[in-house]
Amino acid sequence: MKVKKILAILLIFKTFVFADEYKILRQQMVKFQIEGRGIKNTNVLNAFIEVPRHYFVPDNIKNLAYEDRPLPIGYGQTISQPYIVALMTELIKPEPNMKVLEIGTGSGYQAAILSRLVKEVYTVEIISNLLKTAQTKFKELNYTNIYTKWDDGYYGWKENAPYDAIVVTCATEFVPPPLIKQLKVGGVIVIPVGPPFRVQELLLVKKIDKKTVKTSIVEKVIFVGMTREKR
Amino acid sequence: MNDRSHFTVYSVIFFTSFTIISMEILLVRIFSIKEGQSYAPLIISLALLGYGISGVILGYIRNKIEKNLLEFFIAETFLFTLSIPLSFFLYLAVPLNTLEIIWDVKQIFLFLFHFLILVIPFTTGSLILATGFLFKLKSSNIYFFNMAGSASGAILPLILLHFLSPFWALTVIYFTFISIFFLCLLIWEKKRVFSFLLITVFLSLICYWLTEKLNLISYSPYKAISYALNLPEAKILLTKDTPYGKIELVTAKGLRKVNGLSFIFTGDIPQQKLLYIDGNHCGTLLSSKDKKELEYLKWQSCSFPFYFIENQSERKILLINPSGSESILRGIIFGISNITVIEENKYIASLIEREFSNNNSIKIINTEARKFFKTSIDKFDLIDVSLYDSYATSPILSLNENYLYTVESLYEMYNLLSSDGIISLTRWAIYPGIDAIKIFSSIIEMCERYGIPEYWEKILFIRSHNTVTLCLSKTNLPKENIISLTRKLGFDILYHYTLKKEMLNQYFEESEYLNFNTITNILSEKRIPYIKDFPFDIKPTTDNRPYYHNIFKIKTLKDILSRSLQFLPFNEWGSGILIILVTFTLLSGFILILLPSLFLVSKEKATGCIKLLKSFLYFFLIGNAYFFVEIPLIQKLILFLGRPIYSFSIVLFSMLLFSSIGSLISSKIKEKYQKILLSLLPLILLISLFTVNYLNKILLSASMLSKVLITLLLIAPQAFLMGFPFPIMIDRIKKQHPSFIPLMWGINGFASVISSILAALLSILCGFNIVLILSAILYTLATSLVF
Repeated sequence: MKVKKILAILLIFKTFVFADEYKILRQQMVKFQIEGRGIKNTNVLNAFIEVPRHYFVPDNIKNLAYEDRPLPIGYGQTISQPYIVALMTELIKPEPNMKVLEIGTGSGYQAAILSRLVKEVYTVEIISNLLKTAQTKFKELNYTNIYTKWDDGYYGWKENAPYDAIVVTCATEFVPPPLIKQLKVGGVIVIPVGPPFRVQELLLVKKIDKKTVKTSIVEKVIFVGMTREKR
Repeated sequence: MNDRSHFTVYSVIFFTSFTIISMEILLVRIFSIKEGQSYAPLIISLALLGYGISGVILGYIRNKIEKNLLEFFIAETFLFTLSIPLSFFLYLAVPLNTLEIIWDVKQIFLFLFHFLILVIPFTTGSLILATGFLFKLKSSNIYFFNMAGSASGAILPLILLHFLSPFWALTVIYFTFISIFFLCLLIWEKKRVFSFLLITVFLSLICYWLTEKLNLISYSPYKAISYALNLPEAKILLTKDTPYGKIELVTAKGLRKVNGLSFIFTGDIPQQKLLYIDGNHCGTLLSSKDKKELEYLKWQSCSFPFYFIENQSERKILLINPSGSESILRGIIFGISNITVIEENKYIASLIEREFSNNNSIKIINTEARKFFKTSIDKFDLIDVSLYDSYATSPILSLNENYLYTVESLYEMYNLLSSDGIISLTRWAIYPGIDAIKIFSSIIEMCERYGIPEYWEKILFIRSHNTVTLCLSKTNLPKENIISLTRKLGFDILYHYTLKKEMLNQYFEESEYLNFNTITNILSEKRIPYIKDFPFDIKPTTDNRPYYHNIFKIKTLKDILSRSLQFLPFNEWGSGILIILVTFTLLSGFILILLPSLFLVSKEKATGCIKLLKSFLYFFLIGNAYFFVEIPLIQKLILFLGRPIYSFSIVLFSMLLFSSIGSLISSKIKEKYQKILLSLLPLILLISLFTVNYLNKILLSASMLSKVLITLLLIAPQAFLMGFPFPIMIDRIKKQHPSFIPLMWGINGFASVISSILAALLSILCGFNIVLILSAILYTLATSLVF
């Protein structure tokens, strides 16, 4: 019994100590990797301090969670570099009343960040195991404004359209026409376009009116490709 | 040693050279499948580095082995047979991810490991060759068997690759070598070492079995095909190993690839079958023939010129290397009933032919585009080249020459147009957009050079989010149509002579380089200084410098490399890779060859030292000169012979064959005649340079057999004389300073390492002609040193 008690105390102590350590790491990440690179939106920065990134990273690489790099999360997918997540978030100019669609839930980190900034986040993931893991995390963290769907992201999520913004977190070779259709006039899509594992252009696509969209290149990035059809 | 032993030494030398060159070619193919084309120069340089290192090793141990030369020769052959499967297996078993090199230090060490592990079989192989020169045999004979073996090694793998995968071709060649070695051991009566041979064979079999069992020659997970095969219900419908690369046709649920699609298009995109060469996407086949499903083909930037001839069924169009069926189907849905397709890859041509076997209005011709331009008597209303050469086709020269986008080729295309015909060229507009700017500057140069009247009024340049389409028409295109079409399709006009500033960047934000300002500067009178000062290489490509994909410039290299770190993965650095490889091989050659050699030199007495330095310089010069001839000739004759693979095999084979004959005969010629003949070499090189230019101009349409014979005739005299310098000097040294021989072998190898890459780099930066002229200068200098 005594041993168990001691272990329990140690566990609490460990959680407490590491939680604190992660918080420091998170603050440093925000300061140097995100704010240091020009992300100024205070709400976005606060969301990054609030959401525990290490929580969305596989256990064996938790110690790397706050490094300035993407990390593998299994199934050939990755959790993006913190700066890229911040950049994509800032680009949609998040407001508390917005409805945002995310394509490629992956680890769930991007959706978690968005959920701290907007009213509703709809996220679609094709790899069922990844989606299940992300759903568990959302539940444990009590992020109740995230709605998930297991489906082919190419087709978006028609039932809840139109969206104020769409964030695509996987590379696609072209902007899927259904996503443009599901975007509100005046809304934006942030999407990396280009072949998977090659240099892609992070595009900001703005819907001016029903028949006009205007794009600008934000950054050169490397994302894992969009996987079509359920697995 | 008796005659029988002589014969076996020659046999081992012949088959070692044969195996080394075969291995080099097959490794290039394997690298191309596993990593990418850009690493081909690496294989060449590590092979030559092996030559250099072997010379140094032999220099240090020569005294110890002279008494038991044959035993040592046998031991080296054992090492060679053992090192091939072992290092090959280790290279495949230790994974390297070149994509991560930029941010993961571990990958740099793995890259070094791969480099060093692959140098080993080349080093052990060249140890055999270098030791061959220590036997009391004529150097010219040794050199003859060395060169003749290399010549055969340049041809056989290319034949085998028609039937076998690179892995099995390597296995066949390896076991051929083992069999020859076994026969030699029988003749030498060294039966007691058979047990070693058995162990070697056993170990090799394990390595080959493991490689096959563990599927180690597989695509990098970062290749396009790996991604496609991850999709649900992914299936490889067809696989074909060809010398041009491994061709595969893949289908999967939801597999779609569309370039330059308008954002206004809201329809669906049908499932596609994608074609891959060595795992890189190269074309698309569409199963659907339904017009509604194919509607998207009307919403790509390359479809723009088709609107000008829509539903005019009498119009004729020419599609160059469509690498799939999309362009043909586009022609059909635009109502064109006379479509000619030129497809250079015969396997892809047969696939397309199968798709349209019932359609008589489509003519598919498997030939080289430039040959077709020279021979065609037909005129076309639209010539379309869409994103050709997005994949590499050359198995050996990674920084591909592209003879389709040169100024000369564009003019040949222009001459095939009907009175109101249009040339349509579609290229990438992806950042920094140099691809798009370069095609524009090439077309302007063509118009200027050939005096196309008022060409600025006949050019239309439009862009989608990731492609540009450049149209050059014989007559002015209707302005109203252009404006309404760009509005309908959601494309920006980059240039048209009626374009007003307020019409710019309607749909896409202005790019840093690819913009109206760049385009108008290229059109202006200050074009030449503007291109010269531009941070990237946007010079028009010509037949003398057909490096369409090179974007680097020496003077802005540092700046571009630091920028490239931000937007280009390591394997897309093009000529930047060559510069890094030159530095890397120079450094490794310096550490592994030059330093140890200089240390040995320092031990020589002062009198020997001067002679040694002179010999050093001589072998350094001829080592460089040989590759300064060989590499540009391979590159230059691609246009004449049609395919990189033909040029590579025919030039390499004939160079080595005639050089080997030259070396054999050199010892039988008196010194004064040797001198006369060698002083003629630079002149012959210059004559051949002008002849090659002439060949490309007038004999491009000749039959393949005549082209091969002409190439052999062209190469024979120079290669014959280029076989002289090495054995002549080796024989002299043998008489006076036999201890120098391994070192000379080493320094010659070191020079070859540098020159193989330097020649490719100089060709890109200065053009082929300059490199060939340099070779003539180097041979003149070398001859003046010894005669």
